Amino acid sequence: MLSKLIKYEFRATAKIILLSWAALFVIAVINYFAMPWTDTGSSLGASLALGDAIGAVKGTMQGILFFTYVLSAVAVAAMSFVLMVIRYYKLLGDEGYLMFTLPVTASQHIISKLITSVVWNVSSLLLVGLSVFIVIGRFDVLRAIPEYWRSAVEQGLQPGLWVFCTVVFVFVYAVSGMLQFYTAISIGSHITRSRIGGSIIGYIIVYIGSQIINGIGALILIMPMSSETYIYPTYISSSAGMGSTAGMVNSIVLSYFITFILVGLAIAIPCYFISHYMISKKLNLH
Amino acid sequence: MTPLLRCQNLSKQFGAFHALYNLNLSIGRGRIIGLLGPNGSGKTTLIKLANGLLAPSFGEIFVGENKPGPETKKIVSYLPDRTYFDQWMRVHDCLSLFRDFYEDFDTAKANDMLFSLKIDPNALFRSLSKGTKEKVQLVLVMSRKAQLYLLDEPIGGVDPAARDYILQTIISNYNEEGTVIISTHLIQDIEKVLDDVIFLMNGQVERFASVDAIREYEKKSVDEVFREVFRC
Repeated sequence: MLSKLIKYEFRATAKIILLSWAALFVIAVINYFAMPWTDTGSSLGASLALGDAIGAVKGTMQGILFFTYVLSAVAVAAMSFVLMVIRYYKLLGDEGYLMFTLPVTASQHIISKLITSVVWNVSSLLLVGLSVFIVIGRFDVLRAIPEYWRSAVEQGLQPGLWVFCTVVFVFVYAVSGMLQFYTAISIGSHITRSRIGGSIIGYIIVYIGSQIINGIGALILIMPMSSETYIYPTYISSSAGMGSTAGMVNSIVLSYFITFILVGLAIAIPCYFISHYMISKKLNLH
Repeated sequence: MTPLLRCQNLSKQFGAFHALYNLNLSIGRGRIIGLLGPNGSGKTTLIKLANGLLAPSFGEIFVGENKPGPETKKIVSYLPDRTYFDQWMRVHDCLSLFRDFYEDFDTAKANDMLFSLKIDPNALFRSLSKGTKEKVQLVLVMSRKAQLYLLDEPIGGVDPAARDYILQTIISNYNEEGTVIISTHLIQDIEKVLDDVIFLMNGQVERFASVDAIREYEKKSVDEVFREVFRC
């Protein structure tokens, strides 16, 4: 049943997200061909200095196009997130009359929406990143990555571990961020008759809770700090090889990642159980 | 034999308002039952509780031997009093969704009924009129071989000419080992298909009787009795 729910979620959201991706791609390509670095001597400043009216118009157009690109990139990054929040909001509205009468569990509802949202949100962010390379036309930077990687390893750093931690970090925060909204919407539907107003109040409650957990996480990170070791928690220093600068950098990066991944989990886990409880035991479709 | 639907001291409160209050009810199999009452009497609340769309404030409700959950949803076919399909869906997508999730869904039967009602399976659901949307949802609900059909105002939004077809659809397509519960205000229209009626008043059962008994002992139609009981 979970796979069927996921299929249904993707079908319900694919059209609008894929269209937004296509629009961003087209705008990025147009920007690449319109930008000053694709020809010479046509930047706005140079054109004004020469008193070249056509060049000034071209420069203005480049500015407008670039502004359009930035707006599109922000919209694409935000759209999938907002869309997936709306999907959950609708689940607790009229659409719930269909979805909650299907023979599926509350966990399957939440997990199907989480998987779909993580896939769309992370893909959208990657696409925005890719679009930057399209606009500046510098794919050679990507080709240089193996060289940077080798260099980092030669200096005793652990880029593989950093990448792994980054992937886990992004995954945990994508899940945690979405679950905070799910919890807020679930709580909100019980607070007031106005679901939007209730969801806002719910989000304030969830936000305060998450900030308390974040604060505790920051304290855990900072408390073991000492002047000799600069900044890292003691639970890392014993196992991370502190004999060199690279070892210290590895240790600091790892300690931050571990702490904030744990903080993300500490927020996500209660949010999941609250959302689950609300829709399995306290469902209240008006 | 375990009743198909059973309520024990069931109550549902919305703030200070008691939509249902200490309701006890036991419904068996093979019946077509009218759930009747004025606005706010608790008809929709009872149906939502049976579907797990609301949680009881007090008391319990069982479908078969289970409280509402994935197991009961396999055997309950529910038509709500609103449209619930997403904007992107075409009629055939709605059919696919039912086929995917309900093992008892009969696609051929659904397509036959759509054809009889002259509804294009390729039409976008959002482009249909309100009445046609309700017909599509009724077709889907009645194309299941469920044990309990819960129909909330199934004929409220359609023209009088379509009502007979819909009632005929209900009678000729429900699983005869199951039970159909129809909530409606349009008593005259459905009276002829009912076996029993439940009158709900202020969240409690005022009367649960067979239509034949009402006609025999009171010498009146259900509609006339309803008007007497609920006279303002």
